[in-house]
Amino acid sequence: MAHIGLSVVSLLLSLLSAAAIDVESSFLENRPDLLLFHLSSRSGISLSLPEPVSFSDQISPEQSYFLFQGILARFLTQEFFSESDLPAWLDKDRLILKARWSFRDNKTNNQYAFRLFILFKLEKQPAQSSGRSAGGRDSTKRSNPWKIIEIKAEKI
Amino acid sequence: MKKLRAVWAASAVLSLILLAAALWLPRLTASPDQARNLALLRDKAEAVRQEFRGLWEDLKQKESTLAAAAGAVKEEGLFAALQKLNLRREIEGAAAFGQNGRLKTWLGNVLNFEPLVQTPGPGRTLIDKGRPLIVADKASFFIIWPAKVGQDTVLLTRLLYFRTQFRSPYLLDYQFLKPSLRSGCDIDYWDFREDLAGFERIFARHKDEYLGQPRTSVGLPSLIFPLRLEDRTIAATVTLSAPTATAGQARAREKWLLFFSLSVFLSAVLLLILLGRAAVRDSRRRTLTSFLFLLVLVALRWLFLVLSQLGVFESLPIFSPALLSFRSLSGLTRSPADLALTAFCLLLAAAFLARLGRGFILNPGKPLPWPAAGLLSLAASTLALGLLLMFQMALQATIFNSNLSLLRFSFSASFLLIHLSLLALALTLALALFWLFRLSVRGSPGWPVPAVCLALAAAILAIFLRPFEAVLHLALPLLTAFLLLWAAFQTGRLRAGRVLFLAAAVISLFMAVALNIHIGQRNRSLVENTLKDTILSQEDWASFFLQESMETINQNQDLLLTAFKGSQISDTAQRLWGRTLAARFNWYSSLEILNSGGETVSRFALNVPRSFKPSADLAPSPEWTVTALTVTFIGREKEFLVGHRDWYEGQKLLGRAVLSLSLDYELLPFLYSANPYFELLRVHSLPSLEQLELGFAVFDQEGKFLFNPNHLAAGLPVRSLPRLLNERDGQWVRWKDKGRTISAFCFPHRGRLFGLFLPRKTLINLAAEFLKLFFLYGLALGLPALLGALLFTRPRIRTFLKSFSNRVYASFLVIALVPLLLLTIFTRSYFTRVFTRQFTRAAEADAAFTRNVLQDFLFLQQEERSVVIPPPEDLVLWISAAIGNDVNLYQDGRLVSSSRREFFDSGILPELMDGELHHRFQTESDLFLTQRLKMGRYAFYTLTIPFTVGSSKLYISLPFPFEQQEIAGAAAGLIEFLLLASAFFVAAVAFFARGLGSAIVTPIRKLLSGTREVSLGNLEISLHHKPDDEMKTLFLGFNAMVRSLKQHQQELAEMSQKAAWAEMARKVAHEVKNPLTPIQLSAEHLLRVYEDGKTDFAQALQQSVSYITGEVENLRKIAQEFLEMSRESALHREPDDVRKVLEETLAPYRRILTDRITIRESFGPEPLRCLVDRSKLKMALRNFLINALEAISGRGEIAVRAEGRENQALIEIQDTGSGMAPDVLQHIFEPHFSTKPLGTGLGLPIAKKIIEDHGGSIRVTSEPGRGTLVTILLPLIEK
Repeated sequence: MAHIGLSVVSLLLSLLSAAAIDVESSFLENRPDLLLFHLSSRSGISLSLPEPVSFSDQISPEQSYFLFQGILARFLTQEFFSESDLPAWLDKDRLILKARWSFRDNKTNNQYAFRLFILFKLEKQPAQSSGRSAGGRDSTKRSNPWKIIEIKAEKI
Repeated sequence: MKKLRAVWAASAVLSLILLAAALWLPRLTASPDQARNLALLRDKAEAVRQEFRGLWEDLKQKESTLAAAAGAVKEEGLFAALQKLNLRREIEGAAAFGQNGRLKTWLGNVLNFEPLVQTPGPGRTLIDKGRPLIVADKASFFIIWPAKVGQDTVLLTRLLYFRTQFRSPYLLDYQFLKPSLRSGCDIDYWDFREDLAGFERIFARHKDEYLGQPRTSVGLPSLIFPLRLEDRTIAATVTLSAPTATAGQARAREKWLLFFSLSVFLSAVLLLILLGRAAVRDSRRRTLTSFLFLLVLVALRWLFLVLSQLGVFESLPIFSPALLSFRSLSGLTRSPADLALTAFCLLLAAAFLARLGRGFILNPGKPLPWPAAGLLSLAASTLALGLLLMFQMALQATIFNSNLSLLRFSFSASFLLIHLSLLALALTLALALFWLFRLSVRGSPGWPVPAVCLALAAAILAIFLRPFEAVLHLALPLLTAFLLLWAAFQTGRLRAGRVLFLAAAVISLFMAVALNIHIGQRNRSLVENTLKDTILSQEDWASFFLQESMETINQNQDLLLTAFKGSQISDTAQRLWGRTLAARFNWYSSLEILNSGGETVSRFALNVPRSFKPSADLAPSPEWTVTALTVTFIGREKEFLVGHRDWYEGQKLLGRAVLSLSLDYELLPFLYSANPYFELLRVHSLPSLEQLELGFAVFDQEGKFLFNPNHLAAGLPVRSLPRLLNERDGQWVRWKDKGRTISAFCFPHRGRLFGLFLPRKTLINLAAEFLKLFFLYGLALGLPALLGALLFTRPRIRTFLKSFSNRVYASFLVIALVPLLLLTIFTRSYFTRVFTRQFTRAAEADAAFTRNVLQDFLFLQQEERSVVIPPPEDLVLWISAAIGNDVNLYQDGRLVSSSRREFFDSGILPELMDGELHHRFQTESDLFLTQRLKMGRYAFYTLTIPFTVGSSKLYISLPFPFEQQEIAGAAAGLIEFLLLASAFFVAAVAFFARGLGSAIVTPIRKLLSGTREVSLGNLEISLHHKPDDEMKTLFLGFNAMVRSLKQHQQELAEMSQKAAWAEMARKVAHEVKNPLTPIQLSAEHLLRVYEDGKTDFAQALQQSVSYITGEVENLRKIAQEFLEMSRESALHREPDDVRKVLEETLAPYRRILTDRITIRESFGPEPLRCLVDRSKLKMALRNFLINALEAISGRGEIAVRAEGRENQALIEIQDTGSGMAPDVLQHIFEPHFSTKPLGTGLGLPIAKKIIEDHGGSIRVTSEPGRGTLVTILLPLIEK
């Protein structure tokens, strides 16, 4: 029984790692579709981003997709890396990951850096149909139960 | 058309030029020329210096003004002189000090300069010398200009810079520079106490202009220079950096691309007009032009997509995906504006296709065998339901992916655009449905086939698309309503105007129902998932912030260790706390530093009561330990996550740091706290939820309130508690509170029950929503229709505006609406006053309670000791918690205590109370005063009440919220009720106006219609008016006039006939008389020769007969000429389209007879080209129309059809008149046969002759009481 429990935890941790990699790729490769894939289809996402992005509200996953599409089109990612280690054990169904995002404003050429705090939630039943499909999703990704439900950021 | 083509060509060429400019010009203009950039930087530096110089010159000017004012208002005092300065109080101020350095009076934004003025030192010296200074104070920098007014010193201040350690969307930084100079400009201000010798040496060496080296190889140098005061001391150092070449290029390119896009847009629109016209008019190239039209439309939509990504548009709210966006083809619905553009393009395409297929849609078509008709109907019905389904899905996607509540009306552009998009989509759908409906009945033998097919299609969709069954429940009634409307229109029971009105009402009703259903689903999903997650994650965030903050404290432990040793301790906690993550998110928290003896040596807290001191309960711990604590403050439980750590040097305890983060429910981002100081620092807000009217409460396990911001009276029903406590995912529960039903989603968490409740709509709410939608859609449809009518049918509109009846209706509506408008304005103003009074009274009661407590405290002190100390902060905190409002206490205008000391410590709020308020309390005897304050973007009110203790005057100031949000919240229900009442009132007035107007206008319309018919030649008309009033006399007079006219026409006809006969007889007599004389003479000559017998009779006979024969020949010629004269003139036939001839013939009748007779036209799509004499054919058709018109005594219909049939043009004129009996019918084409008393009996014979002269034929069928059908066949020109 304990063996099964360990296997499940290992699987969930590896899926969390995959989700973190996807988030990193979405910023580095300017691919909001990767981010959309990790947004919950049942819940909206709360965003709180300071200047120069200046946004604070809760929005649907599809709105988030277009919002990040606009953000990533204007602000060119220069670096994005995780600042927190993935946990060795899971004692909750929620986790906050910390990442540093440096970017350049294409309009003004000014450079900024944010520290992002991304709250992941382990969704019990991964949605089989999320309404509309995002391009480039494969079956492994479809089954990832870690969903982003909130992102906060501070300007550094 | 040619002009349009020329304009299009010009705009296309312009587009190419602009595209070339966008590609090449930015590279040329934004070249990285260092010398040029340096020159630009120097220009900017000079502009910055100028602006700074302008500041102190302005202060110098104010000094002179003050001197003059002080002399003029000597008797009124110094405060009156300060008022004369006309200060901009948010950024300017003036403070007057007496000789003892004591602050006497002040106005505007000032600091408490008393320490500076009273203490001997460099500040005192500078002020005495009257030199300007730069002073730093917490979050601000000021420039101070000392001025002498008699024995007093007035320090004039001007804010240079403001930036607090707290970050929030409401708080705005301030910089004295105008916005255009701020970009790339960093300013460091220097307090007059700073040592600036180093800067002086550098700038002396570089002549006040230091060139910084670029940071990268492609970067540009920066320019550093000082801003100096009048006495050449350095006030600030400025670093100017030039924008890089790439950024400049990008901006320039964007500007040119904008011009290019606008030009392309213009040419695309012109091209659309040209192609649209060509497609409609030129049938030969219709396929090509139609394809091109649709292609250009798609290109135009795509162009908008590109255009919306330009910076200038992207920043507009209507292009914000946060307001609305959902995934569709190529991001066509990525913002409200994009959705609107897509919907309008779809509508345009649908309207264009409908216009092209008009003939096909309107013609009934040939009957098909029933299997084929059935299949066609089934396909059309399935497609129609499929389209309805797609519309529903679009509607659902719009609602679920929009942050606007589409039933909370606002004047925001995005809200209107979304509704206009939905309306455009609904109209597109209606067009498509109409087209499919016609297709489904085309060729059908009757109604049953399409009806059965529709039901079959609905059943198929319901079976295969079960999740969308609910959609069908909405779609089918809508479809049925439209079919009923169409049937009513087809059968003539409803006129077009009424059908449109009812269609708008049906669409509004459908939208209101659909929006309510989908918004309800969305809100429930929001509550069950998003908001529940937000509540559940609060503890996660607190725990995370605590961990991060503890790590930050570890990294800065040097500060702590210094504090433990007892040096520089006063602000250590504030400095350390300011570096933590909790501080950067304004999380309610506190940091307490204790020494080895357990005494607090430094403490800073953001909205955590000072009485919260958890350290005593925490065990020693050399590492950070986190503990969850629940503490009760003034009867209210508060939860904290507390981290603490003890520092040791060897075995010796140095001290302890305790960091506590509150788990206060008020921190939840969806709650509006109505606390100005709290809202001011809110970092994470969810503005979209403000429209939701969401309620929130926390209950204990017995269902009693633990947190009740919405002031509910009844807790959770006890019988539901076990079920709710055991259901982890949450459940919906209903109960009654203050007479209203509450529907709440409850879930257990941390041993409590959290409840989120949504407002339940009443019937009045629903009706108001429907009415609002109806008005909005009515306006959206009516305004373009009016505009179109004004542009394209000006004469008709002019007639419409001049119409007596319309003016009567308009007068009634204006009479009704003006008082209603005034009532609405005054009602709103009245309720605003009522609510203001209510808010102020509540604040006044709280302030009075505070005063009583403080007075008691001070009284007790006076009893016990001689020296009275001001009330401590703990007491103020206790009062604040008791009244649920923040409290500030001032003594002689200076802050003594506050429940939010951190606001004053951090420089967000000034330590001096408002100077004008202070002055008024000093000079007048006001019991209290209210004042509106604005901090950044947030506005609130304060209520201040004074009381005196000994020689001091104390002031209690309470901030309370009262802005548009509160008024709107309080007045929303009331305004909704008023709106509904107003709508009923307007409807009642309109009904009354129509009734009253009809009594006046209808008889006039009848008379007008009768007059028009008489002008068309119908003298059979007789008007009736029942009421025995003046109008009846007028009607009788009209009828008598028509009868008299008819009689006169008859007499005139008879007289004309007689005169014509007489003239003819005279002419015939004259012409005949001339040849008769030679005949008579020849006959007499012959007789005489015969009787004489002398001359040769044979020769005479020959001569006379020759004469007589000649004259008889003359007579025949004369007869022939008369015959020729009596004949009609010959036809002048030319190829022409019979449909156009019919349209021209019908036009005057259609205009005149609309009130009494409906004329329906049904022309085939193909032109009916025949060889015709237009004027003769029109004459014939007019004869048939007049006969039809005269056959209809009251209301009726004339149907005119024209279509091609086997090389012949078929024209049918059918009326719903009295019809004819067979014995009448067989004589109608005989000349002089007429059933009318005054008829000439020539109209129909002439018409028949004209048709026959055209090579055509005519047939008339009629039945008494059913009407008459005239069928005309004309030969078509062979192709």
